[in-house]
Amino acid sequence: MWRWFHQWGSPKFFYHRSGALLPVLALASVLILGCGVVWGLLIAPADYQQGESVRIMYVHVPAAILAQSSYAMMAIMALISLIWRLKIADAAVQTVAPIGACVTLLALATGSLWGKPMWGTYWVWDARLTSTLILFFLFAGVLALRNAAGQSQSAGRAASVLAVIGLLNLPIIKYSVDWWFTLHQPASFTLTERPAMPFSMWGPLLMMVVGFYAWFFLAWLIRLRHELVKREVRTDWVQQMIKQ
Amino acid sequence: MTLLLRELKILLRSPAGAIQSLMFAVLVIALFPLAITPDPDQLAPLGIGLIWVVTLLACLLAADKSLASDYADGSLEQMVLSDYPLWWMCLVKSMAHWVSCALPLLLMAPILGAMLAMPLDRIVWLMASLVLGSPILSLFCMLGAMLTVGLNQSSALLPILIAPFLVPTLILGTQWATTGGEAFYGYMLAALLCLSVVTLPFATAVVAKIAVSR
Repeated sequence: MWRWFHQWGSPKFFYHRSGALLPVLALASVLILGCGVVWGLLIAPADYQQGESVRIMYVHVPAAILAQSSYAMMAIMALISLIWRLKIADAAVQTVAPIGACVTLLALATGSLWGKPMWGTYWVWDARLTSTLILFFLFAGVLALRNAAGQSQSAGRAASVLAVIGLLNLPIIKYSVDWWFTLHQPASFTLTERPAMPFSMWGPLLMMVVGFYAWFFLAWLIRLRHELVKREVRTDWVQQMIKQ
Repeated sequence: MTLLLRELKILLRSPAGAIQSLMFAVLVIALFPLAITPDPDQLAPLGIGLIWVVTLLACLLAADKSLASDYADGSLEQMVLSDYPLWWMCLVKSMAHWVSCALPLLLMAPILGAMLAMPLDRIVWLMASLVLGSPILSLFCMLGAMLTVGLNQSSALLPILIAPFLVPTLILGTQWATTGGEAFYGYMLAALLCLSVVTLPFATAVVAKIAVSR
């Protein structure tokens, strides 16, 4: 059991084994995302309140969900790399940060595009919007520290500490932003949430969420494998691979 | 204790840093009436938020200087290597940052408030919120300074890293002052202060070891 886990910590083992996952993830993300896009953007009915704009939600909601969970994944990887000093966990932190930042930006951008026809403005200082914006800044901080500190081991550990502290702070930030908004003034805008969403709407939405995750893991894995080869370029197994 | 005295002595003998951040704050506050409006009715409601933001910026600006000389002359390395408790060193460093940066601003708050035409009771609540909130700023700033010490663009990097973490303090502090001491915000701010005091020095100590090994 433990041996099985330890194997995955070795860059060589991970690189060779994870190669088999690539086509699976690629196929899954293309198929699921493709079906989800067609179903959500073309087939699913328009909302009776929001009209055709509701289709933005099929991109926005998966991006927002993925933005939060990718930060959590990054922080968990950072914690692993701090405790067990796994090289691969550190590489995982470094490679997931740009993807997470892009997904957060996508969530913000699609959200503001949806906000213009719905709320009449691209941006409101709503609690959710604000905490997503701060999430983006947290990603940007980890990226900036990484860029400034270079490739050394201590740079990775510093960025990992920042990511972990960020995760611990995220609930505090979220609640303080909630209180700031809710106690400050009554909600002038609420997301139009209807309790019973018909299947024709949550079906494609769920599909898009799964598709986004598949794409996310695919992008992460490609970047991670690339990063591992770059870091381990002096070792025997990479040299052997290059010769072949 | 010796460490605390050392920091205070350094501060007393070269007060330029403290004066600098104070001058920065006064200058920025003076810019707002010029840029927005000199009308007291419009300025007064902005006062609490503006002074809080300026305090936050002044703390962030002064943070990287507070460790730079210790890092350059190797005394930071000696502190990490000595068997002195490292978290205490980090706490003392945060206190020194607070005394040099936040305390002068806190004492200047009535004057800054007067510049922005704030009524007296607002100024009192502003000072109360700064008393509770600014130590949290200093603790986080020291964490950021430790993360970026010895890096090339540390003064530009530090605000990017730390500003998101200061959002809860800023929100709770300004809300507490603006609502005229609504108990909920005060309790939450105090809770945040307690949490920060007991956790952040330890996190900073972890980062200090990384910084020295750089």
